Amino acid sequence: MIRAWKGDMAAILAIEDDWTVRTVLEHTLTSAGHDVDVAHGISDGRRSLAKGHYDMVLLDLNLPDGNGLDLLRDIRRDHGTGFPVLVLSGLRQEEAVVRGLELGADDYVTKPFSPPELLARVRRCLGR
Amino acid sequence: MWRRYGDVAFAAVFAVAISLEAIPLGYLTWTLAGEVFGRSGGARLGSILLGVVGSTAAALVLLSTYVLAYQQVSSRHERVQGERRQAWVTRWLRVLAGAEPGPSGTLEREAVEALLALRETMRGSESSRVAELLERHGAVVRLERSAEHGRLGGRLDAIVALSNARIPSALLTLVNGVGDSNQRISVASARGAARTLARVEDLFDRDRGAAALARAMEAQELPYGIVEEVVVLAEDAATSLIDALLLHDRPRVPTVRAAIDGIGRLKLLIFAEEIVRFLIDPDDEVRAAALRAVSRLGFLPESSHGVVISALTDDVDFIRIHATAAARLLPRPQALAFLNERLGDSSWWVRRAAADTLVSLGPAGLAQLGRAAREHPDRFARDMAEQALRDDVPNLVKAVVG
Repeated sequence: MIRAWKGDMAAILAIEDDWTVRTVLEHTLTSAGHDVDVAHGISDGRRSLAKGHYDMVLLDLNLPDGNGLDLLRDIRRDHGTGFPVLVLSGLRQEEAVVRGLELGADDYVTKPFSPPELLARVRRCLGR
Repeated sequence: MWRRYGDVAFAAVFAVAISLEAIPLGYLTWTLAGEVFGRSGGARLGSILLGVVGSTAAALVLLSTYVLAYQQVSSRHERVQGERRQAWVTRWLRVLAGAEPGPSGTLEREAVEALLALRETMRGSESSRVAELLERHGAVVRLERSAEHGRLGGRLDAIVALSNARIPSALLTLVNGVGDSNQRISVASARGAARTLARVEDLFDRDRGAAALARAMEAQELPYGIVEEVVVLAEDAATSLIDALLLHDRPRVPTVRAAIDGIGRLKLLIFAEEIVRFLIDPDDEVRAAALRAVSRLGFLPESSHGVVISALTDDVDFIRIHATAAARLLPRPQALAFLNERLGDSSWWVRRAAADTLVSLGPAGLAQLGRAAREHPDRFARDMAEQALRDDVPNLVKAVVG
C-alpha cells in the first residue's frame, strides 16, 4: 500500500536482488532515519507492496524473476504518479533508464552508487 | 563446471577409478589371450570376468560417491562462507560509519571478499575508504603476491579480485601480468589493469599507466577483441589509453582497429578529427573501423566528405557497407542521392545498409525510399526499398502521422 510522506522519516521498500547492494541500501537509508523493508525480486516486491505501507520504492531494473520496468508500469497503473519510485540501474543501462523515466520513474541512481548521493536523491523524490 | 576446488583430490580419485578399470581389463585380456592359445581353463576365465565386473562397479561407485560428496561439502562450505561474508559486509559498514573500530591484524578471506564487494557496490569517498581499508590491512599486497605466483587457479582468482578492487597501487602488478606467458593470466591482467586505470585520478599517473599498459599489450600481441574490450573497460581513462595505443611506434593493425572502435563505442568526440586520417588507411579493416567510428560519433568534418563519398564505391563490400552508414552525415540532399544510388549496389548487404540508413534519416529518407520503390531503374533497388518500407511500417506511420 502507498501512503503520503509526511515528515523526515520515510518508509521505503528496496527491491534489489544483490545481497551486498541491498545491505548497503538498507544501512545507508536506516542511518538517515528511514524505515527500510527489502524485497529480493518482483513477486516478493509485489507481496510487500500489497501488505506494507510505503512512502517510496527503490527499484532495481535487473531482477531474477523479471524486469523491474514491468513492476514500475504496474505501480504507476495501480497507484498513479504521486508515489515516488527511484530506479537503480547498472552503468551501461542507458536505454533501460530512459525507458524507466518514460514510464514514470522519478529519478535514477546508477550502481556503483555514492551513499550521500543516494540519500540526496531519495530526499528530493520524497519532497516532490 | 561443477568443480572449483580440489584438483588434487579429483585427480587421485580419477586415477584410482581408472586403475580399477584398466588393471582388471588388462588381466582379462591377458587371460583371454592364453585361452586362445590353449593355456588357460574356462572356469578360471569366468571368475576373472566376475572380478572385472566387480571392479567396474567399484570404480563407478567411487566416482559417483566423490561427485556427490563434493557437491554436498562444497555447497555447505559456500553457504557458510556466504554467511560469513555477509556478516563482514555488515561489520565493515559499521566500521565505515565510525560505529565500531576496524579489526586488527591479518584479515580472513571472507573479510577481504566483503571489502571487495563493497568496493564494487559503492563509489565516491566511501569507495575510497574501502580501498584504504584493503591497503591498510595488507590485503592488496597479499593479492598482488598471489597474482604473481602459485597455481593458475589461485593466480586468476587474485587477478579477478584485484580487478574488482581497482586499487591504483596494484596497477603495475597487473600490467606486468599482461606479459605473462600464460594467455589466460595475460588477458585477465589486461582487463584488471584497464579497470584499475579507470580509477587512477592523477592525470600524470593515468597517462603513465596507460602508456605502460599499451606497451605491454603490444608486446604480448593481444588480439583485436581483447584490446577493444580493454579500451572500453578503461572508462574515463580510455582517452589516455587510446592516445598511448595510437602513438605507439608503428602500432599493429588489430591495435589500431581496436582503438578506433573504442573511440566509436565510447563516443569520444575528442578523437573526431584524429580518426579522419584512418579513413584513407591502406588496411581495409582499419578503414572500415574508421567509418564505423565516424557513424557512431555522428561527426564528419567537411574536409572528409570526399573520402566517404569515394568509399561508397570501394571494391570491398564491407567498406561500402560502413561508408553507406556514414553517408547519413553528408549534407542531406547529397546523402539522399548517394544512398539512393547504393540501393542499386551489387551486394545485398550494401543495399540493405542503404535502405536502413535512409530509414534512419526520418521523413526525408522514407520519402526517398518510397520514390526508389516506384522509380529506381534497378529492379533489386526497387525490391529493397519496398522491403525496407514494409519492415519499417511503425516508423513510416510515425513519419506520416507525426
